[in-house]
Amino acid sequence: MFFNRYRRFLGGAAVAIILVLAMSKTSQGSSPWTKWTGVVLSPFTWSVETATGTVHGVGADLGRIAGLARANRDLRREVAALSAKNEKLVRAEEENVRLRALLGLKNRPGFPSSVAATVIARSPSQWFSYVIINKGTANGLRVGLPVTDSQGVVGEIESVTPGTATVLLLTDPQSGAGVVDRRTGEDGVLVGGLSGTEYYKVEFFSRNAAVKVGDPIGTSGLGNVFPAGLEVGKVVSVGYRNYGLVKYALVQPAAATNALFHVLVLTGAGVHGP
Amino acid sequence: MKRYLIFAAYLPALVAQASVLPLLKLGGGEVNLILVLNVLAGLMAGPDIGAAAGFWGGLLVDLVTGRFLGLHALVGMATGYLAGAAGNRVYRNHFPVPSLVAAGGALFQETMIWGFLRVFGLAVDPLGILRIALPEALLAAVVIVPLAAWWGRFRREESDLRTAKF
Repeated sequence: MFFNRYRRFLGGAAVAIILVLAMSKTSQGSSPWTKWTGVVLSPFTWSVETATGTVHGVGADLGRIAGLARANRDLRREVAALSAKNEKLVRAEEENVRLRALLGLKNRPGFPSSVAATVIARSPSQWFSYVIINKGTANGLRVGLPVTDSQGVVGEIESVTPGTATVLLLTDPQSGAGVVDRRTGEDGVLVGGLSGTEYYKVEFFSRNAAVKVGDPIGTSGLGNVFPAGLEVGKVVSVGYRNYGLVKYALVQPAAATNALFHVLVLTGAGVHGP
Repeated sequence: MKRYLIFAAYLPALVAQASVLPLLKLGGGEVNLILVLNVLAGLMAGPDIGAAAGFWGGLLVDLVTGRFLGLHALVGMATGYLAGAAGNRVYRNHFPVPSLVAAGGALFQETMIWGFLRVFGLAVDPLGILRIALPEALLAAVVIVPLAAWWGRFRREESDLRTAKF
């Protein structure tokens, strides 16, 4: 139908094209026909070329993106594995530092014989302060033995089983210890009960005790539980209670009572001190 | 039936409470998962289940701490029951409600424990309530949100199963 209607026109066009091709083939250099053909066709060829280039570029980019995504996934996996490994190393290093500190304390001349233990559980209630350690009667532990970490005294053994022991921390409301201001030599008693804080409260026997902020506090040996001379902490504030009748001090513990991991149980401690 | 799973959830919660959570101090306070479960059980399953779950959770804490056996059980039971009673009067699944009930439950529970310890003759610091209960209330208000959302969806799925015609 289409060819029937335009056959004359199409036939003429075909003859013209053949003539043009023949002329351009036979002529030397660029003929006017070639030039004009180029001018007419160039927008189309440019468009097709550009589109082809773009499609090709997008295809190449997609391929690159897929490769990058794979590489990114692999790298992320590797970073996660390395992070976990790094975390393990950091923990091992921290543990190493703590154990070296404990070992240093244990090897100090005159320090009583002791058993190193690891904390395996803590109090689920914030009102009570204790930890459970992984040594018990099988390791020579018994009720009443003092417990320290590398920095200072932390508490005493409250109960013991063959494989574990419960250490009552000095921050517990049922805890107490005889202490002394090492600067002035004045005695006092450390009482627990400051629930929710990391501080100890020390009440001095004398209302006129010359205690001041920064004083070092140590165990006095009174009470027959903690040997004299163990580090307790430093005074951070001083005040009065019971209408000014009792002088007390808040003491920042030397021991890391909030984050205990390893402790030493002083099995050979006498009250006269290390 | 599946609501009783919460009784089993107390065991891993207790393990976390006695090991990791004391080390994760947030704003000076600790997340009290046992309390959160007490409130969640009461709020979502009613006062009876709340009281039973609170008693069970508190008893576990008492057994682990080994002191004043029954203290946490009694207080946990009261907290679970009150959370359930509160849940019956409000739209329990709406966002702020579990948080508010959890915060209130924390304040109630810690105040009760502090009071009992004073009655038992322990020299616990009065400011201990503020230091322990306030951060704990805030943390409980946050922690209970995803648990309550999960429980709400869980309960809906359970009721869908019950009403489905096979």
